[in-house]
Amino acid sequence: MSELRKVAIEINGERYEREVEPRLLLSDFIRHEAGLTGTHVGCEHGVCGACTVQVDGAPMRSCLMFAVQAEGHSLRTVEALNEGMDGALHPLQQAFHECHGLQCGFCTPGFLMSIEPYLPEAADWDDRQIREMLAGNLCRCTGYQNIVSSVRLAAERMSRGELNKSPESAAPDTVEA
Amino acid sequence: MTITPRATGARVLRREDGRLLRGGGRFVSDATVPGMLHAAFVRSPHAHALIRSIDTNHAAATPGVVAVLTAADLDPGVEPIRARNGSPNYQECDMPILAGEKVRTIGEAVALVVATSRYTAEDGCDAVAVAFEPLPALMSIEEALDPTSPPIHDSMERNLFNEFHTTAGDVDAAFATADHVVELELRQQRCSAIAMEARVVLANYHPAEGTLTVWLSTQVPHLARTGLALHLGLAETRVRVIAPDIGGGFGPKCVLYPEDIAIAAASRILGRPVKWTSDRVEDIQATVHGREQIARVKAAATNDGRVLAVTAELSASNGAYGPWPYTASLESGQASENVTGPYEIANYERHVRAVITNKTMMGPYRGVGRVIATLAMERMMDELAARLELDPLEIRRRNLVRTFPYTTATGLRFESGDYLALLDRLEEVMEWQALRAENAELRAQGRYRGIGVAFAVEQSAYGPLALGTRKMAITPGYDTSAVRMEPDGRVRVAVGLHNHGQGHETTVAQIAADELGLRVDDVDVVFGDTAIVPYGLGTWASRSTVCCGAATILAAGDLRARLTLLAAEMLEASPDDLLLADGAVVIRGSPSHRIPIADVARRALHEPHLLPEGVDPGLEFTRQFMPPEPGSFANSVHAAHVELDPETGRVEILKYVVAEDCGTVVNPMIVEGQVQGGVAQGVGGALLEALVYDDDGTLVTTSLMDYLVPTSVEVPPMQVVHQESPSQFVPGGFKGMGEGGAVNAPAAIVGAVNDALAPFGVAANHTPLKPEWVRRAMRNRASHPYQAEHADQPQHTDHEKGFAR
Repeated sequence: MSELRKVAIEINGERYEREVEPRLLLSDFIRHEAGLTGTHVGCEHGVCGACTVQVDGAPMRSCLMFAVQAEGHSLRTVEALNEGMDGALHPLQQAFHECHGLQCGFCTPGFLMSIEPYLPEAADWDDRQIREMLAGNLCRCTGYQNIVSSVRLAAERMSRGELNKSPESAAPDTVEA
Repeated sequence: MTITPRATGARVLRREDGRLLRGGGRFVSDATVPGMLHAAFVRSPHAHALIRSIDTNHAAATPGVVAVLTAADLDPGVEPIRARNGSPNYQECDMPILAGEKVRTIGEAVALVVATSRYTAEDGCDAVAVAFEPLPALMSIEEALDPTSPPIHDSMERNLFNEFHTTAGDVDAAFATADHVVELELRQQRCSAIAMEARVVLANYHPAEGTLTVWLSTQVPHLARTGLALHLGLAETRVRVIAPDIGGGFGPKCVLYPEDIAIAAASRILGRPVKWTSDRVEDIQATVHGREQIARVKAAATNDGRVLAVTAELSASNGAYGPWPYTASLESGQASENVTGPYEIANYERHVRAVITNKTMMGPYRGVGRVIATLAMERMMDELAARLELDPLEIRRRNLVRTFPYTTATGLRFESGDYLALLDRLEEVMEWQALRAENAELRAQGRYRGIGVAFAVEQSAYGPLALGTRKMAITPGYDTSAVRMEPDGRVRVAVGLHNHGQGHETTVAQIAADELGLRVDDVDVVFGDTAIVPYGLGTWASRSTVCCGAATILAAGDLRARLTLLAAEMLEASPDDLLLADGAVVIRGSPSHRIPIADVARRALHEPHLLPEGVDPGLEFTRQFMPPEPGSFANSVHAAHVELDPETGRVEILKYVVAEDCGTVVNPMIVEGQVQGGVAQGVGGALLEALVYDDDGTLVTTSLMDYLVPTSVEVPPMQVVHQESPSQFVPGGFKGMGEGGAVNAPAAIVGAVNDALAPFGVAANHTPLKPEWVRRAMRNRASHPYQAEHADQPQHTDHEKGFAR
């Protein structure tokens, strides 16, 4: 146990002030201090990407940062991905849903937060480039193919300026022929 | 009138996605209870050692530490885990909850520190001093079986959990008359399933009630409850297991672990909730491993390529303990049942060993046994094809089972299928002949491409007798579904399976909706809580859709009968003239005569005074389904097209096609997802993944930087095509298919690499095919005879990084 330090971190627009040990990982701060459990921890050594959040807009592995290092920075987690969309899914979440880009869903928040900043560029990418962008995150369920399709669909929709309209877009009743 | 479109067969988007995409999943690692403490384990750094002493004084004095527990603190009342097996030659052993006298594998827990946070619990672990006296470690199958090696368990005379031998047909006569005999030794590495969420246990013992609630990352909540009650001396009615969302299973989360018992025992001792979340290092050390096995196989064949007989000697390195309740017979036993694959081979002899070594115990991992069985058979097929100068597809065509049902030499009954048509479809979609021709042209230009094929039958949903003959303490050969209609006409299906990515919340709803004339959205599926769902046996061995899908059809049928009876009175019609469609009960041929299903539901549940005589109130029906013996058999054939880089040894997969037949497809989107995910694990097994031990028995691949899980760059795009041969023995016609992708892929990729290596006179008989091996194989060019590189030998060169990632 080491001395506690005061830290103030902004997550999803909310300020969290806590006294924490300097060794506390940012991932644990997000999950246990802020109670935002959508961010998952898969390896705690920076390989799997499940804990990826956006720090000042850039994807970061929250297991490779200490909470005290996030002092004064602005974080965004999966819970805020569809902020301002009236409860509808973000186009990337919607694309994951439509393309079956997730199975157990544990790695999914990390993928979403890693991919989202690249969507404006990804509309012009081929599959190989999308796969290279995704290679920093591990998924053990899907075999990645449907994640690649999800990225493509979301990037294309966003480049056409299409946003989700229906707040119920995650409703499961869509039956395709 | 619009009739609700049939949901079965449609690409219905998943109902479970909404919460998972929004970060609202209910994973076990997210669970908290007020007053919760955190635990960490002190684990053995030795593969084999005596424990001379454990000093916990400094640990107990560490700030934040609440308790330090060792074996002495757990006894009495806590039983070691003993995976019982009544087979004649099976040797059982005890697996300690915390090792007190001896450790038999790296990572075995010797003490448990409970503290106010995981951080302080780990501080406490650092302060525990354990005096070990190392013993020689038996790390290979050969060493363990050497008669001069001491037994790893004092209670045994030899390092064998099990050994058996069976013969079907006249194997000797077939070999005596054969034109060709092919003989191979194949070695398969140890693998870890690497579920993205490692194991988690949160136990809350309530002293005043004498009840225990455990949030557990398990695929088998009821079996886990039985295991917890048994090993803690509690009544099953006092134990509740909750397994909400779990971050991947793949088999290892079917097993009862010492940590499960230890954490529950700690909660009982302290009277406080205690949580343990495995980190990745201990997950790789202490969650069951899979695969490691040697297969010595031999095939006798005629000049026209018909295989007459096969013999197989299969030895698995099972590690130090047997997994509860499956026991250590799993890997080699299951391999031995499946060596002859989809081929008509009546004469078959097997010799099976489950060997005890100083490694982590092996347990179920997607495709148990069948991965090496498929690799072995398909390698022999390719060798024969080469010898007889036949196309690899042609030799398979000459041997595939053609008439169904077909019973194999090991008693597997393939109930239906059209294997030849499936192979034809693969040939077409793969553009097999065009690629073969192109490969030959490119070879002349110094580019090394190859194509490989692997066909396998997937035994799913093992029948009660098929499991019963394994003589485990529990025969998990059925499952349960409880279908309940609520007063508003919506339906809740509670199932014994566990959904952790397979999409059961959607597919079971599709099945129930079709039986009841409802929309999928009118059905909710619940699972994963022993206090809520009926007794069931969980999700493993591709059993869920067969067992729970069929049980849902049966239970929904009972519900439909009750609804029809009530509606007949309400509509003044004969029950025989009624059908359920579009959320109503309708008179056949007279669609305007209908009554909304909710009206009928209210009659049954809220208006008992209006019930017709002889009709009971209530709309809740529970049915069990026992799968047919010895299971339901899906089949699939995979083809891989690869190119080898002579400079780096990298294997690039250029094209990958799967043709599969799992009977009735409930949701093609989900079936394709399962296939793709399985293939990805097969790619890892074929090319990247290996648990490597050094000479002292230290597991050196304990991070994801050493144990290489494939990324989006290594896993190729895949094309999946379907054929449907429903099972005539399962209501709904389902056959399980969750494992198949992982079963065929290594054999198809090894076949393709060997095809590319043909000019070098080298063929791989092992996995994984790491770049250093491929590079060496391409350089050896006939100058040295090929030496098999053994997967269980230390591969220090594995630390050469920077390839394929």
